[in-house]
Amino acid sequence: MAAHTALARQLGVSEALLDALYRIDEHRHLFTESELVALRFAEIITTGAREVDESLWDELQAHFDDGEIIELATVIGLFNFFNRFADALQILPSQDTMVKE
Amino acid sequence: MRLVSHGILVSMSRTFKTVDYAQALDLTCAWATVCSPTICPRNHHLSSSLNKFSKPQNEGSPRYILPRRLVNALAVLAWVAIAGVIFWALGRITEALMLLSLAALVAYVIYPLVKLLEGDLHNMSRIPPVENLALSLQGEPGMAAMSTLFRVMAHRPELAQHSIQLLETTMRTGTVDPKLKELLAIRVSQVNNCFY
Repeated sequence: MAAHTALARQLGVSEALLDALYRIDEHRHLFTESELVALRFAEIITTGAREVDESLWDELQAHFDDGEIIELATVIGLFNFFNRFADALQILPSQDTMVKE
Repeated sequence: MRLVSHGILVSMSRTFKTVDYAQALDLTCAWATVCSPTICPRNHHLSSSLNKFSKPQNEGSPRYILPRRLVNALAVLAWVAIAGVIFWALGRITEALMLLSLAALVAYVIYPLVKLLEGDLHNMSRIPPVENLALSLQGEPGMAAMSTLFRVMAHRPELAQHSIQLLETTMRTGTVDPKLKELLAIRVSQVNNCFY
């Protein structure tokens, strides 16, 4: 299931948090304001990076300085790269990490 | 022929109570008239005796001894036939159930094999991972999950090595909480419907 990525499992993120992440709108109380802004930034970059509008940008700047926004954009861009790379070449997580369920 | 039809109708009237005896006899008469108009029990002696609809009053009459036996025999025959049909149907149902359980058993036995082959197929990326490659993946949690990806990338070792370095720098340095970076990485994979 997509909500339970091998990476998340490897990182030791709890199932509850993963589900919360999967349906953020129903679990907004579990995240801080800055986390919610960063997560929205991640979603919009992933689905269509040109949709990052001025209001989102203002919110980002309210919570993060320029260097931190660079960090966020790099993480998001890098994992989009890994996802596309893995999908195109049909690479799945190695068996030993799948077994850890 | 006439007797047989009469017997069947009368036995029906007895076993199922749907056709009463008088009706049975009437039907027989009608059929008998068609077959051979000269002989019909009703014409001979029953027109007055059947005004009560259940049974003929001249039960003791020798004329009725043979049909009555025949009726009994036919009733038994009919029941035997019905029992035969039921047994046949039960046999077919049992057969189908046996086949189903056999199929279930076979599926149960070969399931691990299928799973194994499926796993093998799923582990095949389009470009095979480079084996026996010392990538510096240790130390970073979450890196082991990505080892296949980097081993595939290792067909160009410098690309793989620099990608690993970029990943490590991205996740470890800076002032943003590393936990938030992990959340972002997971969220991106979720939005991309990617297993990584």
